[in-house]
Amino acid sequence: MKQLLIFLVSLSFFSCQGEPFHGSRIIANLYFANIDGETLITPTRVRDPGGSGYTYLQPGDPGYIDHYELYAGIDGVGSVRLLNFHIRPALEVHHPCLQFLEDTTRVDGVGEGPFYFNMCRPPYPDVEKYMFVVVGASPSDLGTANPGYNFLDWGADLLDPSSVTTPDCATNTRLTFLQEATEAFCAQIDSSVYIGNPFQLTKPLSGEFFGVVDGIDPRTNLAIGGLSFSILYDLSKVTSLFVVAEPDPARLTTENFSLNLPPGAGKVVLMSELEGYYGYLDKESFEGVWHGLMVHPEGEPLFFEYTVYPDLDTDNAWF
Amino acid sequence: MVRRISLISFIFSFGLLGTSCHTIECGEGTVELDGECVPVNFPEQTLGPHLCMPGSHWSADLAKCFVDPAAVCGRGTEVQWNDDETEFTCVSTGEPELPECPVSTGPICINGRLRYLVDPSDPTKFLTTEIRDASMLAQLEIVFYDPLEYASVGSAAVPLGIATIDPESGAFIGTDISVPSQGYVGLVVRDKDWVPGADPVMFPFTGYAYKASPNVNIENSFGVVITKDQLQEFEDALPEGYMATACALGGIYACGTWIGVFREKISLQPVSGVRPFYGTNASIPEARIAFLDKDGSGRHTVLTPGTERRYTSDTGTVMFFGAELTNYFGMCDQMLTAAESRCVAWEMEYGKSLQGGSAQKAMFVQYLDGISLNDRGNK
Repeated sequence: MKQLLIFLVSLSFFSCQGEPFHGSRIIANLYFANIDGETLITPTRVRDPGGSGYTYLQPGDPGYIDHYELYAGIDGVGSVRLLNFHIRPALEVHHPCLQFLEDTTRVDGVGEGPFYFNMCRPPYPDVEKYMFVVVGASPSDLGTANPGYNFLDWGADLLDPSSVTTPDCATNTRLTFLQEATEAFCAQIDSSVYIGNPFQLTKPLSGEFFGVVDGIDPRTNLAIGGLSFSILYDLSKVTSLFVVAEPDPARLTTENFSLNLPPGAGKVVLMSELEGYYGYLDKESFEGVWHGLMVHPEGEPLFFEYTVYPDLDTDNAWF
Repeated sequence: MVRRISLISFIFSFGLLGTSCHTIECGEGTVELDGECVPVNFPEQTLGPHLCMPGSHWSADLAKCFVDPAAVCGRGTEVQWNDDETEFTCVSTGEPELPECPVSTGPICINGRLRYLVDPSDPTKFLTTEIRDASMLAQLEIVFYDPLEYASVGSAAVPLGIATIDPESGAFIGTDISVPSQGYVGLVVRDKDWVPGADPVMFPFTGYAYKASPNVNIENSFGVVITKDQLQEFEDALPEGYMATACALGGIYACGTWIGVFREKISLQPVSGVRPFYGTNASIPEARIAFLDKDGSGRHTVLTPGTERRYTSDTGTVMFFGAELTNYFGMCDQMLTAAESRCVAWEMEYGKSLQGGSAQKAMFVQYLDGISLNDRGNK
């Protein structure tokens, strides 16, 4: 027994050498007041006149935002790019990769089936218009595997020649796709590209899901929202957290995607500071966790309230 | 047995030690990432606070100046940007200054002025006339509530705070107001020294809600005033017996009434031709609503029952008697043409997430700002 204790003490001494930091976690709520939530979506899109669809802006267009970058300012000496993310509709109703999901619960099919998901039926258009999610960005140079987020463009060669060109959910006028070609295409899309899951929003068919922007779930009329980010950086010296709305897709090329680039030319849209003017970052009030609020520096009603668990190794709340 | 316990202790200790030990120390200018110390991005060292224009804020982490117009332009002034939106100047609004809100550290401050829903001396003015009459202001008080709590429990709700009113300038300020978890603060006007359950003497209990966040003051706000006489005029404007059908309690105030004003978000123009909806996707029963309309002289004195017309007139305003706490929005009445309806002409869309409602013996005013899908409404 004595030998065992000596062994354990020795082990504890040696096991501490070079033990890495295992990460931190940010639990947050992103919410907005009287601004149009649609304007937060990246890459930026604008409603078509008549509300029949959307036009996706292109890089270089005025007002174009490609993605968001979350930064930590550390100890007043510099910054670290923690992660890149998009705000996306929870589901895109005309997304080709959602058209051939087999739907065993559907009751309005004729014949024996199989029945496929009909994304034009309610409530899914509402989920596109009124429910937004925060998801991981994907590299911007993935070629055809990257949808470019405009289903009307990137899905063109997957359309059935007899398909309409302008879908309209108000009249149940849908795009029709070639099943074999569409399924083959969707199977090879990069796993980092977000494709929502109409059966379980929190487990997307593809991509990384961080959570839901605060709002009302249009299907249930209940308040919904909440984000969770895993951060590999040690945040112990953080003095600020901020989000940049970045117009330059080149910052997300495969080569640049994981680099710790300095903030680019994008606009800071959310900011919180330990000893500053905007928002706040409180490291003292609660034992083991920090609390903060990012605000828009120009006073737009956009807020990001967060709790940081700075060291998961010492945290007794397990996720 | 001892050996088994020792083995379990060993395994447990190993696991414990393996997950709780973090010994890497990264030097100045570096940060640990997955067991390695990597450099942070250093800002341009030639920059500094001296480059920021007066009133702007230097962020050392970002090596940037941030201009907060609200911090630069004082009360009674407003920001005017140049065409490139690279420079701004502070221009006086000509209004007496509002009392200064202290910097918020959790609970917030709200300042502003009061407006009539309809100006009693000039009923053509709707939600624009500010109250400067000192004798009038002396007879009312402004209290802050959690509006969702008030809609649920009525006068049993606990106030978040009370404002002080400057009778000279007509401005009010309330400080140390804790923001409720739902993120709304209701600004309520009522008779001075009102007690729960009492009937109004001059000022029926009238609320207007703001979205709020801790640490973010609400400045230059407004509260809404309806007089008791005006309430009676509204009652008289309805067909006899209509209120008895609309609400079992039989009165605009007794039932509690939600007053919704449908507008276009950018131009803030009222929108005609809107059918009021609530809940998940239901039109508000026509027998329970009335629309505030103008008479031939442009005065807001007419109430048109929902059973006679089911959509808004050019005032964009609806009253819902006995309104419950839920979401409120609107849909264009598709039986109307673009010539008859701004809603149709502008292709208006209203979000479904705005919570509203009222409670017995309370009036609640709310703007519903929609988006013009064809952009014609915001020109």
